[in-house]
Amino acid sequence: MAIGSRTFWLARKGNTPAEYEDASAANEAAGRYALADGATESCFAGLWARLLVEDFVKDCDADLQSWPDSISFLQVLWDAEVQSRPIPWHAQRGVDQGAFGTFLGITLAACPEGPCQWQAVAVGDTCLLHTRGDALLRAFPVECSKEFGNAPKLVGSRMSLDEIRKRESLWTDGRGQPGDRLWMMTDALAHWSLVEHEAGRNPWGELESLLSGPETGEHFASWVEGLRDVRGLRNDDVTLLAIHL
Amino acid sequence: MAYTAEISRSNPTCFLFLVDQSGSMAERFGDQSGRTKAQGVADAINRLLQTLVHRCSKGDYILDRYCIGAIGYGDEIGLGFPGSLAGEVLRTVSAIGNGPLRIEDRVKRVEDGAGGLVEQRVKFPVWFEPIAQGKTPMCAALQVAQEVVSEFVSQHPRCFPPIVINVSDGAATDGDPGPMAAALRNVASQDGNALLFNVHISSRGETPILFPPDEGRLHDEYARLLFRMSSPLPAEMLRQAQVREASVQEGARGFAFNADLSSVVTFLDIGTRVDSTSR
Repeated sequence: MAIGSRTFWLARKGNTPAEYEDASAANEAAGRYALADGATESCFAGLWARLLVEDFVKDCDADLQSWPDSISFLQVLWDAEVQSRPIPWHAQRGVDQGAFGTFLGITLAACPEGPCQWQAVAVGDTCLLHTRGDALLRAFPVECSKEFGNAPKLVGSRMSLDEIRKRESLWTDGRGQPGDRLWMMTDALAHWSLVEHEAGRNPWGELESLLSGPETGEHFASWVEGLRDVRGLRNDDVTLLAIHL
Repeated sequence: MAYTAEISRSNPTCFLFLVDQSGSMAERFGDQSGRTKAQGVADAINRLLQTLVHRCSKGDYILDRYCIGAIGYGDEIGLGFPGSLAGEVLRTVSAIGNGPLRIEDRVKRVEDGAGGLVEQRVKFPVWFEPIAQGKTPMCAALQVAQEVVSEFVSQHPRCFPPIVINVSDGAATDGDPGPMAAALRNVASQDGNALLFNVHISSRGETPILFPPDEGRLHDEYARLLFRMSSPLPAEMLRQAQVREASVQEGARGFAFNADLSSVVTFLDIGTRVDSTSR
C-alpha cells in the first residue's frame, strides 16, 4: 500500500508568513505525521509548535500513550531558545507563562497489502478527519462543529508532565483502506469542513481537488481566501496535512 | 450579530482613553493607598495600556490588532500621548508598547502557592504621569472623542466597535456630559455602536464596584452619572466577565467604582485563549 502526503498552509490574512504559528511535519518513512497550532495569546508559540511536531515525527516509539514523556526535553529546548534572545518588557510575562498550542500526532503502520492501522493522539482542536470517497468515517478529537470554541485544551512549554497528562489528551486508532484519506487540519479549516459536512455538502471533494492541483501554494491560498471572503472560514492560520492511503 | 467582528491586524479595533487631569484629582484617592486620585488615574491608564500591549505581544514583536489613543482633559484638551508618541491621537499598539516614557521596577505581592504571599519584582511601564490642574471639561473631551472614533470607523467600517474608556472623578465643569456621551455611543461600525466605559476614581473609601447592573450600590452622584453614561457589556464580554466573576449580572455595564477595569480588555476575542479554562 503506497502512502503519500502533501502539506498546505496559509498565514492568517493580514499576517506575514513569518508570523504563521501553526507547524506541521511528516516522516513518511517512519509513518509519523504531526500538526500543532500555537495559541494566539501566547508568546513564542510558533517556536513551541515547531518543536512539538518535529520531535513527534523523529520519535520511533510506537506507543502513543507515552507521547508526553518527551515534552520535558522540548520544554528545555524552548526555554533555551527563548532565553538566548533579548526579551522586551512586554514579552516577560508571556515568557514566564510559557507558550501554548494544540497538537495532533498520527502514526501509520502500513501493511504490504490491504488495510493499514493508524493511531492518533491529540490535545485540543487540531483535527483528524478520516474519509473514504464522500463519506466521513471519523472526526477526532472534535466530532462536530459545535464543539469548537476559543479555549481548547492546550499543551504548554512550562506545564509539568503531570499537568500535560491530565490535559485530556485523547488517543484513538482505526483502519484505513487503499484510497482513503486522513486529513489533518488546524481548527479553522476543521470547523469549516465539519460545518459543510453537517449541512450535507461535500467538503471532501473540494479537499480532494487540492491534491490534484498544482504543487505551488498559490492554488491553496486562492481557495482559502475564497472561503474566508464568502464561505465562513474564520481568519486564522490554516494548515492541511493530507495523507493518501 | 453585533460585537462579533474579528479583531486582527487586517481589521483592527480602537481603544481611546479619556483621562481626567483636573485640579480635583489632587485629592486623596479613597482606596487607602495614600495615593492622590491623579495617581490612581495614571496607574489605571498605565495598567490598561500594559494589558493591551501584553495581549498583542508575540515575544519579540507586537501584533497591531489595536489602535490606541488618549485625550487628557484639565487645563486644556490634550490630544495623544506624551513623550516620543506625541503628535497623533491614535497610535498602533506596537508603537505604544515600544514607546513608554519609562519602565519602573515595582514590587507586587503574589500568592506563593502555600497560602501566603511573596513579593515579586515586576516591570511597570509608564505612559501617563499624574496631572491635576484646571477644570474638568469632560463634555469637550467627549466631543473630541466622538470625532476621533467617527474618523476611525470611517476608515475601518467592519471593525469591532471602538471602546472609549473615561477615567474621572466625574465632576464635569462644562455642562452635563450625558448628551455628549449618548452621541459618542451612537457612532457605529457595521458591527455595532461604540462602547463607552467609565472608571470612577473617588475619594470615598467605599467597597470597589465592578460591572454593576444598576445604580443601587452607587452612593455618589458622580458615580451614578458615570454609570448612566456607560454602555452595557455586549453578550460575549458579559459572558467572559461572568466566567471570571460569577456575581456579574445580566445588564452589567462597563463601569468601575475605584476598581481595576483592565480585565475588560481581556474579554475581547482575538483568537485562542490561554486562561484557566484551557491550561
